Amino acid sequence: MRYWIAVLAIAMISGAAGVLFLLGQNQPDAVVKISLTSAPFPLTVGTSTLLVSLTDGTGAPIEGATITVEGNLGHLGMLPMTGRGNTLVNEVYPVRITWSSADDWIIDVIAVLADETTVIREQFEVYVYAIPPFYDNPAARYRSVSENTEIVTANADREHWIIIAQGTQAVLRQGHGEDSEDILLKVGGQDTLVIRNDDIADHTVGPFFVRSGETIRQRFTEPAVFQGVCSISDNGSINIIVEG
Amino acid sequence: MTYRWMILTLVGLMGLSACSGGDQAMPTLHGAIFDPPRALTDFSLTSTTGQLFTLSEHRGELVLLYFGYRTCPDFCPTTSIELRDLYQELGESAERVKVVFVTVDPERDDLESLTRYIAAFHKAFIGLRAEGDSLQSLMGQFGVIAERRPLGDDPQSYLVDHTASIFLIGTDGRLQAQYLYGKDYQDILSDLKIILKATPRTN
Repeated sequence: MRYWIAVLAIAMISGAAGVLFLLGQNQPDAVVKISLTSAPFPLTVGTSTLLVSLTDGTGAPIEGATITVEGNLGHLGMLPMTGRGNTLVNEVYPVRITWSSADDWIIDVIAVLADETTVIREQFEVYVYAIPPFYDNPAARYRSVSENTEIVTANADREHWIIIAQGTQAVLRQGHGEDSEDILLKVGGQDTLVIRNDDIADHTVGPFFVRSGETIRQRFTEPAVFQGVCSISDNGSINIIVEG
Repeated sequence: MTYRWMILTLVGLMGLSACSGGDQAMPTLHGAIFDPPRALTDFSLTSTTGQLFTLSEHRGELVLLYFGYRTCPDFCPTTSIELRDLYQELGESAERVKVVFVTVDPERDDLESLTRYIAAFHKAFIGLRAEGDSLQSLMGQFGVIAERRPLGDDPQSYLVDHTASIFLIGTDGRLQAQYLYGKDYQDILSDLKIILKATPRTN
């Protein structure tokens, strides 16, 4: 009996070790990061180049990876647009891809590292413009869905985040915007409003005018109600209600 | 993208202290903090001092800027009085702070009447007057809105609905914070003291 228990225990330990070994081989390194920008920035209809940056924990570029990019509109019947790159140029992987429509695109970036087993993924929500807008910010980049989620949830018990997505103004002009909802805050609880403007246009949210690329952070210490213009919603107005 | 602007109000994560946010520029301040501080296009406007007021000439000082008009019945006098109290409580530090009022009603607020108006609150306060594109350009930098609301048939009889905030321009000439209408002046005073303490005199 003891013999079989010992055999079983060894088998289980070996199996667990094997699984851990395989997981260790295939799990992406947590510090490997994918960043995304484009030339031109922002993207416009037609063929353009996505610039995918793959960095390790020290921020150094990772060589030898293969990058696959897939862009989806999420419309029925629309085929995804794909591109591939495996050459590091000026510390980024250029990936040529054609955008067939001025719209919101979901871009999946998949990086297979040189070991051919480690796979890193990131998803980006990017608006593609019909006409090249005037925009001049060499440091501009797209923020991944996971990056946004991380920042929004990090202090969710006290911070209420509004992330104004890139392309918000263009979408509103297309008539595809959404009405705003009241922002409810609570003094002593979730009492800090943070607005980050990732759009290429400036925006007004109630009493706050937030330029492209800016983040504004307001902590409320007293109950109040602010009504005002809202340039990020279809109905054009918003209420910020701070409860006691 | 289903939602153009993402509002997530997730509750339940264990709290971090109010000052632990890693990307907060100045977490202890009471105003709405701009990150990064907004670069402002320099401007030079007619002022109640008799000389042009040029923003870039006030580097090293803090500038509290607000917009309004002389016949405003509520926000402007209330804010001006609060700023007067703030200014007086600054003591010697007041020499490093400029309080600047910009009229959004240049048609009725000529320089003479504006001078009398602003001096009624504090002799050190400065009134600025601009018209047309100069005024619009300045307002645009701060996202200030001003719309006339007629009170009757007389074209000279109207109120002006306008942005009711105080803007804090830092010693580097960049927009650092915004204080919404109703903010206790003691909170603003506290912020100024923190910033002044952190910013040694340059001369």
